Amino acid sequence: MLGMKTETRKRLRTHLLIVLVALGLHYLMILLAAAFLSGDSSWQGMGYFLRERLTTPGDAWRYLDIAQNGYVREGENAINLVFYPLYPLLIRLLSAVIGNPGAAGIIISQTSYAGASVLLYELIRLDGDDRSAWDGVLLMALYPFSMFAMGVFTEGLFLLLTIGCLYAIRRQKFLWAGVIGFFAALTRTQGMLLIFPAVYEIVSLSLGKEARRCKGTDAAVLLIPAGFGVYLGINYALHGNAFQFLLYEADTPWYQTAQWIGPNIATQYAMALEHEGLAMIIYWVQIALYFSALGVLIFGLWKKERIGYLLYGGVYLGFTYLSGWMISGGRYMFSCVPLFIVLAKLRDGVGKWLLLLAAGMLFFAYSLFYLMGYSIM
Amino acid sequence: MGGFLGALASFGMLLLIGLLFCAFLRSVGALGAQPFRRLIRTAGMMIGAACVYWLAGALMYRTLYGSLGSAADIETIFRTAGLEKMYQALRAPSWYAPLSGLFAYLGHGLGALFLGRYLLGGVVLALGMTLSGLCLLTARLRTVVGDEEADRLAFLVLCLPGAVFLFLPGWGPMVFLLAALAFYFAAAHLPRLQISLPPGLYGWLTAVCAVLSAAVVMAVIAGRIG
Repeated sequence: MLGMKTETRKRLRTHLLIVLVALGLHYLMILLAAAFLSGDSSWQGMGYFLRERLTTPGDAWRYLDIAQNGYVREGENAINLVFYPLYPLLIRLLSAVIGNPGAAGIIISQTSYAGASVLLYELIRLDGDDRSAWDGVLLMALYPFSMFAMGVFTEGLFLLLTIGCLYAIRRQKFLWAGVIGFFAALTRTQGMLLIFPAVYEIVSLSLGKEARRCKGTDAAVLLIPAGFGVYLGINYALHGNAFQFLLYEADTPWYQTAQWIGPNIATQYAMALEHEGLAMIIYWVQIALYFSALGVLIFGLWKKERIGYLLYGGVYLGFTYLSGWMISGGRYMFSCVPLFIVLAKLRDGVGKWLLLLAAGMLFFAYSLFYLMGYSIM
Repeated sequence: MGGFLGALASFGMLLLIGLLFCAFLRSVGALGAQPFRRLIRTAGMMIGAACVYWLAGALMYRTLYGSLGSAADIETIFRTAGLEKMYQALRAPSWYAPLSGLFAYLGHGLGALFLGRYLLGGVVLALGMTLSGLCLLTARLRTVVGDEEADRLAFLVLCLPGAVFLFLPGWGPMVFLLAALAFYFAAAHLPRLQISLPPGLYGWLTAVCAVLSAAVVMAVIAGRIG
């Protein structure tokens, strides 16, 4: 540390602070909830409560099953094929060292999320000031469904890889963008959408004022769809059908098929009216998120935000809302990083402060509902 | 309400796609700042007019028939023999007429991109053709009568009786685009005209055309135009 330059030391201190703030907000929330909800105020009781809420809800057990048993051809767990392989693979590798898959999943998620927060700061800092970069980190931490970054879910890892890829694209390091995007595409379906901002950046550099000539390393961005290709290869190797995962997704328990956005939003509305108990935690949330995200992206265009970010945001939003029977829209939209980038650059004033206040309130509410066991998945 | 929200969601996404495309063209220098502003203005004018026709149609339908499942159901609101045939052709295209058949095939292809929403494909195609025609018309009018008069005249075109068909699937938008294209080239060598009209005349003309247009919309909804 003594031998480091002042600038480097300052940067490391900032990064450490970011990690503390990003994780700290979540741990504060977790501890508050655990103290009131676990019914057992001892450390053991709270620890058991936390492990239960971070490793068992929703599809968490499926990631752990894949990590322990891999993909299978037959049986009721054959449908685990719909979950992409990178995150379970990392759990398997780490659990070989620490001996506990659940703990491994949590460590990977939270470490990745911490890294994603640092990267988001650096990404926004490239085109904005320090305050905007911090606001971006805070807005991501206070996203109402950000709790999923703390448990056995892909959110933390996917955020790290997405922001890393966008950072590499922004720095015109297309080889790195391709490599990171490859792993993002092996983490979630939306990972392959990173090809859009990558190709856009290359094309606009070639056609723009700088008229940059294409380099051989630019082709590395093709690694991004190649990651998805690897996943298709796994499908084919197991079932002789590269798109077997689509068949599983269309069947029980997910019933997911691709439909145009309009009918999906109409369905969400109908479901909100039919299932009042789930309306405020699933259906109205998904409808509100769609229109909010759309508004933020159009606002970003007006404010002349980088087109590559907005393009990724638009493609991500559109792709996500093509899901015919979506119940995890709140969680999926957590990874729509451009929203945090645009909102971070709002002029510092009443509007932004109200946004942070509202975000904090919603973060508390939905984190508490999640920890209480509501159907937030 | 659900249908309306869905239509709004679709429109929003298409608007975002259009804006991103324009922003890309600007970023690579293919679209200058002034042409971009003009394009946004023209598109806004067209979309605004389309919304007025749509809402007016929904209002008239609801009043005439007492109920409407969804305000977004343009297939129910705007229904003539020709339109019905077009709605069917969008789902199962055929060359039942030269221009209409071509439109049906193009709309069907676009609808396939929207995962089987063929009517949406037809409407988007109609709006795209009308916008293109309007941009060509306005661009040529600007060189002949100046910026301000060009916008006024272009808006007047959107108010003409029968203009509702410019926003609906069919040969109307296609003919408009072709006519605008022909005008763009034919009027290239026209000298600059100085139009000096009494104040309020445009407003008066717009109002009269709007009333006559409303009558056409009502006739379409009431099945008086076949």
